[in-house]
Formats: sequence, C-alpha cells, structure tokens
Amino acid sequence: MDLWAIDRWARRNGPLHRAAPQAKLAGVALALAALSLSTRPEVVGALAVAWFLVVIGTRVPATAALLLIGYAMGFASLYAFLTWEGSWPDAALLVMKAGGAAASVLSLIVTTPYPEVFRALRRWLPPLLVDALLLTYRSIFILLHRWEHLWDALRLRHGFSRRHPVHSARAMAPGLGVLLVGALDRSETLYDAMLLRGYRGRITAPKRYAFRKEDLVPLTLGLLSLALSMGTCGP
Amino acid sequence: MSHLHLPDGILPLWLVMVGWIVTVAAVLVDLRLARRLELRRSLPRLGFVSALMLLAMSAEILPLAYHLNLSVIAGILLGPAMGLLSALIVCLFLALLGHGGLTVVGLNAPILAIEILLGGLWFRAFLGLRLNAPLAAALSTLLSLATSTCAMLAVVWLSRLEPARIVEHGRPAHFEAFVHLVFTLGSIGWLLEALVTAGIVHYLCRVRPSLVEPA
Repeated sequence: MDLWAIDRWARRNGPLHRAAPQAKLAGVALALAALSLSTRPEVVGALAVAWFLVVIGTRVPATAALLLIGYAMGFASLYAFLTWEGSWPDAALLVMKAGGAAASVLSLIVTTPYPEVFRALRRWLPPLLVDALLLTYRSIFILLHRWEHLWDALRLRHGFSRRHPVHSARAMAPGLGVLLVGALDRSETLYDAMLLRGYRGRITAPKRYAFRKEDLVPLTLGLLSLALSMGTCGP
Repeated sequence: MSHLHLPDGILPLWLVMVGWIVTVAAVLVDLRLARRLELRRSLPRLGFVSALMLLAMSAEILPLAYHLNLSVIAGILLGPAMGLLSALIVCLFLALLGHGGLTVVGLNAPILAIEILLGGLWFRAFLGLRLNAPLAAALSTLLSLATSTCAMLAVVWLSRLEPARIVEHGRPAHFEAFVHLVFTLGSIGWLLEALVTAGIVHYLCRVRPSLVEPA
C-alpha cells in the first residue's frame, strides 16, 4: 500500500480529478452494480478492461494499477478455487468481477483525495464517524514518516531475517511500542489543538453539491457500464 | 486472518446485506453509547490507533508474508465502544486501498470487531486472574485471532449456502483443504502476532503502565 503515491495521484489535475466526489461515488456505485448483476464473463471482462483504461487515463503508472488490481484478482482466484465446481467460465467470471470492481474503486481513489471522499459521505454517515475517518487519514500521514524511519532503524540495528520470523517479530515489538506511545501523546496534543481552534463536535461542514460538466464523465461511465450489463442479461 | 480480502461482486447479495445490517445496527448502538460516555475526547486516540493498525497491516513478516493487525492492542487501548468504530474505520480504509471490496466492509468490520472486542475483554479477564500483562496479551491475542478466523471461515462457508447446490453437490472438497491451510498457516501467524503484542504490552508496562493497568 503506497499511501504517498495514492495521495499524490489523487491531487493531480484531470477531467476525472475535477469531477465532484459525489458524481464519482455514484459512477463507482453504478459500475459495482453492473459488475454484480452481469453473469457473462466476456461482458465483465470488457468492463474490467474499460475501467482499467480509465485508471490508466488518469496517468497512474500501468504497473502500479496492475499490482493493485492484481491483488484483488489474486484473492478472487483463491475464492474461485474454494468454490470450484468444474466450470472455467464461472471461475473466470469471479476473477474478472474482482478485477473490474477493484479498477472502478481505484478510479475513485486515484482521482479524489480521501478527505474529499469522507466530506462527500458526511451527508449519509454520522458526524462522529466522519470526524474519526478524517483524523485517521491525518494520523496516517503524521505516523508515516516516523514509521519509515523506525523501519530503517530496525533494519539497520536488528536486521529483519527472512529465515527467522520470530527474530523479526521480537525486533518489531519495542519499535512499535515507541511509535504507539508517541502516537498516544500526539493524540492528546491534537485534541487540545482542536479545542483551541474551536472544535465543537464537527471538523468540517458538508460541501453543497453543485453540478459541473466534468461530473458527466464518471456518471456516463457508470451508466454505460450498467447499460452494457443490463443489455446483455439473460440466457 | 482478521478480514476477508474478497473483492466486490463475488459474494451473494443476501450475505452482503446481512453483513451491512449487522454492522449498521452495531455502529448505531455504539455511537449512542459513545455520545452517552462522552467519548469525543478519545477521537484523536481512535484516529492514531486506527492509523497504526493500518500501517502495521502494510508490514509483512517474512517469509510467511503474514501482516500484523495490532487488533488486540486496539482493544486494550480503545475499549469496546471506540474499538468497534476503529474496526469499521480500518475496514473502510482497507477497502478504499483495494484490500477487500467496499461492499464486503459490512462483513469485514464485524470480524475485525470480534478480534478487537474479545482481545480487550480477554486481556482484562486474564489480568483479573493475576497473569502478568505480556502473557495476558499473548493469550488474548491467540484466542481472539482463533475466534476471528473461525468467523472468517464461517462467512466463506455461508457464502456457498444455496440449499439446492448443497443438496446437489455436498460440501465443496476444497473448502476443507482451505480450512486446514488457514489453521496451519494461520496458527503460525497467530503466534507471531501474540509475540509482537506481548512485546508491545511489555514495553508499555515499563514506560506507561497506566495504559494497560485495569481501570
């Protein structure tokens, strides 16, 4: 999970980046519905390829996109193996659905910074939960620097061993303890800072949705996916 | 083993719906409880602990490729009310990173919540039995991971629950092989996680004992 890279990609400028998060969420929901409803491997495969091309179109490196999508497809292959009943088309359908779903969600994540996604969800989610999501996002980036330094230090001082996972686990524990205590101290400071800056139970107000022409891009992609899926339904 | 890495679109709709109903009901009750207990002050702690869980999940212990969860640590530090929210937050972030589908969050969150809640509860129970804190943490980790693995396997098994297919084909042979594999490889992972959790609790006992002492 390269969080730095995902955050960097999300802050670029492009037609899909400029679309409102609400429109992109709707587009992804339509794509997921299309993938779930379809029972034809060739249709699902075409949708997966199309959404992969959408991701590539946002200038995300193809290898990085393939890795992220391949991860989902790998686990779908395992599930296909578990539920194997001798039908290759059924197995292919499962794996393609996974690839398509991962690509459509990826198209949202690599074009929308997480805080924007959470802000868009505020209308449907409880404020406490949205605040917690925003704080987790912020905390990830506060801890990420320390995490990387800690990892480098542990590698240099103890040396993680491929042959001795127990040694690696024992080396990790005190380092994680240091990080945890630092994080808890930081959380106290953060709360005091939030109070000083006027926090009264809501970090950000929801943004009012206003339609813009770029919103047509994710909505059209989602609707086309659904139309293709519905149009090819049946025996 | 605390979550299903299954993507969207492959689990039966009824199972996904049941998962979401359980999760939404639990979160609504939990939010009411959080409001009554005035847990807003714990919000930054919830954010940092959830973030640390997410970072830990990105670290693999080679050669098993086992990733840590730190769920029992979350259970100890956050308690049940915030622990449940933490499970949902972690699962949402993982889904947005492509680790498990968005629609599967409703199933993943209860599985991770089981780990967090039981981990915290067992830890307190073992401390009550006068076990030392690192040992209590290790045992609670083993027990909670074993329980959540069973829950995860139950979800995979339920996902095949179509009466006609079961009558026709019986249980899938691969599922039993999968159960063996999960318990064999998983148990090694549980031991590693227990070792790390015990190590962290040991460190906390030395530098900040108030965090792990019973209230």
